[in-house]
Amino acid sequence: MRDKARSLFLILALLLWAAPCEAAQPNLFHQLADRAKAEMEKAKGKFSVLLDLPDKEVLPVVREFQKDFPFVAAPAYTRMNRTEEFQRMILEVKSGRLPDYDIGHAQFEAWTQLRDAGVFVKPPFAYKELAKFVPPAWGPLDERAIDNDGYYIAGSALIRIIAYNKNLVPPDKIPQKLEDCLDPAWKGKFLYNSRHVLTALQHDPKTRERFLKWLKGVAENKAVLVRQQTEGLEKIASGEYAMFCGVNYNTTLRMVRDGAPIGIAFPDPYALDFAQRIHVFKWSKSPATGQLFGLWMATKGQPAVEKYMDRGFPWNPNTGAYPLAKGKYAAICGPDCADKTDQYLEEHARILGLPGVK
Amino acid sequence: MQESTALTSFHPPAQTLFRQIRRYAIPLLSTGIVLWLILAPLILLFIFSLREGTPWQPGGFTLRHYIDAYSDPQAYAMFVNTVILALASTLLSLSIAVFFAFLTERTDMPLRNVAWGLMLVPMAVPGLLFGVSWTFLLSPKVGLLNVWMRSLLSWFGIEMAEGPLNIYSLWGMIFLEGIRGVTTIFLMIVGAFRAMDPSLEEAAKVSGASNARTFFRVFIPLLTPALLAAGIYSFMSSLESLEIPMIVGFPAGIYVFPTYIFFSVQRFAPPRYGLSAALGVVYLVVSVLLVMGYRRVARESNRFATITGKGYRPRVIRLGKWRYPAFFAFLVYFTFTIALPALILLWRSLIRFYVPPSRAALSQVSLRQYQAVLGEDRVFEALVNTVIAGVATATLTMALSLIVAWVIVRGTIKGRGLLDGLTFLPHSIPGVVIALALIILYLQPPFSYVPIYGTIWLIVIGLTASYIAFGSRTMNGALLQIHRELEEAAQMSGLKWPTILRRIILPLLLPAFVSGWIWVASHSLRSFSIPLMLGTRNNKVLSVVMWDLWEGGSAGPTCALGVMLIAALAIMTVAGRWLVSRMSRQQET
Repeated sequence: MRDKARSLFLILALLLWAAPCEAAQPNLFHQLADRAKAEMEKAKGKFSVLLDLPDKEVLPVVREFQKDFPFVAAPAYTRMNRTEEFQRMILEVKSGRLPDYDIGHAQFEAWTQLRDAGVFVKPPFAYKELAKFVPPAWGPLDERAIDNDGYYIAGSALIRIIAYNKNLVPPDKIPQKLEDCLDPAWKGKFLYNSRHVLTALQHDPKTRERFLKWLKGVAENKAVLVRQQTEGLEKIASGEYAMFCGVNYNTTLRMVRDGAPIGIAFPDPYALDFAQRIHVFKWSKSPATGQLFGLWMATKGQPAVEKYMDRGFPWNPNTGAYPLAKGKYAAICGPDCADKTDQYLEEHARILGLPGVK
Repeated sequence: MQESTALTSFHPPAQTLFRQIRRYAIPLLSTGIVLWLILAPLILLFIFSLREGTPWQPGGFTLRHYIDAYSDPQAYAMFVNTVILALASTLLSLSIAVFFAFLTERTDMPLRNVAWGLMLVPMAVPGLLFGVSWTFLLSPKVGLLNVWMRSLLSWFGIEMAEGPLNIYSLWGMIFLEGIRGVTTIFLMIVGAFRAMDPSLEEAAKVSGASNARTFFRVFIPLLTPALLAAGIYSFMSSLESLEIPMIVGFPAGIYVFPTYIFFSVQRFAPPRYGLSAALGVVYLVVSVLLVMGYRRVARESNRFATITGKGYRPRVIRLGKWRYPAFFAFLVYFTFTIALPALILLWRSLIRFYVPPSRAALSQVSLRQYQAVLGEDRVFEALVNTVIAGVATATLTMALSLIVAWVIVRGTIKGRGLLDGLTFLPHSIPGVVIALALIILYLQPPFSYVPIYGTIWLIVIGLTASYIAFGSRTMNGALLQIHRELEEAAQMSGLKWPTILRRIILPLLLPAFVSGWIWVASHSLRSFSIPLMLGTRNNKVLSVVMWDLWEGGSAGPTCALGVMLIAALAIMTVAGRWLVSRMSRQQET
């Protein structure tokens, strides 16, 4: 009894001591903004961004960022979206030829190599701490967008869905889940991307077994394999094939807007990769500006991300994906999933019977 | 003949070493550059194949990649498929190319000059768009030609839901590879057709041989080195081709060796370059064997020399009643291999998403995709880079090829057979490996002090290394047809080798040189893997921009850019043809 009372007293004392401490804690967000401003004054407003999307999608988002932070006067953008290009970057860094990107996204196939090569550094402030100081007007920062190890913050979501031809798929056959692709009616008439984009479903313990069973079904139901999303979506739009199971939501949406007779089905569960995972490079001259940009993209910049990239987080009510994703389970591929990419690719290739797998 | 050979020898024994080096500085330097371009990626390829790890983090030495690569029975089965595909498509390409080279160069077929120029246009179509355009034409369900054929069949009461043709098949792959290879072979042999000694044909005529008999008994044997060189090149290209097997074969589950390599490597993160290199060694072995065979046939080169000092003027063969059927044959070829794919791409570039052309679909036509492409600043920057890369690569490749071919064919130095073989090997080295080799080399001292990394010039070097195989094959074949006696006569008149090369050899080789130049320029303009690997923000070329658009889901703008590229290259090829005709006329007079 005595011990219990002592413990209670100790906890109360600690709480009383900590409360004024927190109140006195400086606002990390303001500190970040101040540091970013100082960096930009020094760099004459130069800020270099590396992402994997076309200029026309990224530059308007960067311009929106500039409106909030005009001290970022001269942003530059580079697109890099192939594994080989990231590997070249590692070679450049190792030889002492440092690229000029301050911050950047890393493709999931190359992420582990870049991390192991020491290309990333932790940003000036821990995101989890910073999250407490995000201005209310910016909206809450969802913890799923933050790397557990503190290296990156995700600025957008890449959702994989089912695209179907509205003229070929009758209303009562519109897919609701990935298993609907295995309907014998679609045997040999549906597409599947041989570049594995559903690793999230393979990684998540809640969906793994179901996904592997589904993948075997894909092979048995004679899926027509393609290597390119655009090529596959063209085939769906033209009516050559009925559906494409596991394709990017944003790419499909663009074709729908163009008037293609394509319908979008969000399966339950669905796979989500964090795209535009904003890392600070170790040679960055503007790490605070980079962190500010990442934080902005994940919160206040979401409407711009949605408007220009169609990649807003599906849990944000202001995104087009929100009503489609509501109530459905999202399997997410984070760093622990990226670490196992090699294993997942092999398993995927073996089940599909791709050439080159013994 | 022994004496005269010694006269043109590239080995004067009485001179001091310094004088020899000074005298032969250009051939020596050119040979050195070519060896450098070839050996750097080749050595790297072997090192990759024998090491664990990655190029940026190499591990210990191992034979694991070879064991993995060659212990899989799948690999052998797919290699057999590939050889069938390569043989069949090479035969198809060779037959079509020989037929049209003969018609356009040596006969009075109507509009033969126009036909000559049009033969080159397929070269302008990037591989990706070429494959995609044919899926629009011959997809079983919505392919335009299938839709037309079904309509036609329905008049006869035959109703079909799909087909009757299906491009996603082995014959589809052979057909596409075959017609895709025609231009390359055409360019490699057309110079030889032009350079043929008419006295041999006249002798055949006097002996009462028909045109067909003359063609098969005189032309074809004389063309052996050129045909063999072109056949080998085409066969190797088909063995390695990945675009058609991926676009047409892969969806049908038809796998070939390049597909096997692609998936063996890509299923790893990071891709296993060691495995890729070990698998690629099979191409090197095949290349070496083919080049050895080629050299064996071409050993007695004088047998094939048809341009002699006796004066020649290629004779035009009168086709008589076959003039218009010959032209009709060309029209059929042109329609099916050039016009239809180009028109379907044009159609795709004018609509928002693909639907077969119809009156109803006309309402969708707009120039929106063109506006989207032309509205992008990077397209103009890329255009400038592309032109620089194309012109510089073509000039450098053909200049080096000419000099090295001269060393190989006319020189007497030891090891020129090896040099001949080596010049063909880059064709077997994947573009990614060539680019990686250049990155590794030019990031390290002393080459890191040469300020070309990250510029368009490194791309030019990479592309030159890649296309030197084509350039040297073309120039070797053409040079073999020029008899030594011309050079001997010039030497007897006191001319030195640079003057002989410039004033006698080069003018005679100009048609082949220009044809080769056009081929290299066109391929450089549309090449992808090397510019992508060596590209930075400041040196992007159009093919990379096109790929960016395609990957970003912008199929329409990609086709729009493709159509513009095809139009530009078509103009270039027609201009090139005009130049070749003019030069040939000058030679004749």
